[in-house]
Amino acid sequence: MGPGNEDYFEPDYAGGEPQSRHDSIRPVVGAAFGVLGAVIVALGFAVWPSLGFQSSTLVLLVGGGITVMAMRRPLPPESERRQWKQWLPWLSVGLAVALWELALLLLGNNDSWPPLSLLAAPVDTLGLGRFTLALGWLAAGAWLIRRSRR
Amino acid sequence: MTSRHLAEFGFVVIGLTACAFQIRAISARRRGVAKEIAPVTMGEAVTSAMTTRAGKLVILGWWWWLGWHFLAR
Repeated sequence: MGPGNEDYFEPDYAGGEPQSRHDSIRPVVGAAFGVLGAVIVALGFAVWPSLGFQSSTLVLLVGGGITVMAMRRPLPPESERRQWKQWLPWLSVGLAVALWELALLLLGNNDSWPPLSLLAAPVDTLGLGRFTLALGWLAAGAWLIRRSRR
Repeated sequence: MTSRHLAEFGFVVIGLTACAFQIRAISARRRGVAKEIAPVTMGEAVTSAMTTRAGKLVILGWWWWLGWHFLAR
């Protein structure tokens, strides 16, 4: 292996240019397999209902896999850390969702006072709605893996 | 206005607020506001939270729970 070999690449090329034709194709092939895998998993969710063994196992396995992948990546650099005043608006949005959800649970947790899960029930039915929801969840997971290393 | 409409209205208000925060952060970046004081996008806030292992675990755990809540139970 050396600079004269077309497969030569630098061991640490995070953020750098690919060093060979294979390296330039690899991310495209990886992304294609990722999309294919996501579609297959989402199809599984589209045909398997909630409260079932298959859907629970799929969430546990896929969620666990993506979590392990994200945790194994290095932490984003310190330079990406922002002051608390800068991310406070987003924390307040998260808290607002949690508090509103809690209020609806305490007020009734029924059709009169529906929390987010009941509002999403018409979408979360077998078929296209559940397929889209699953694809969105997987896309969010992939986005979190990318965010793990900037 | 029924109680159901009120419940939906609450989520719409929170969603619109989030959109406003995102637009404000993008527009601040375009205006060239210094990175140290500019409002951040949701993605930047998530990345900031993920600069520690604990923050990373919390964010990933929350994402995992969302999948469990909507797709498994």
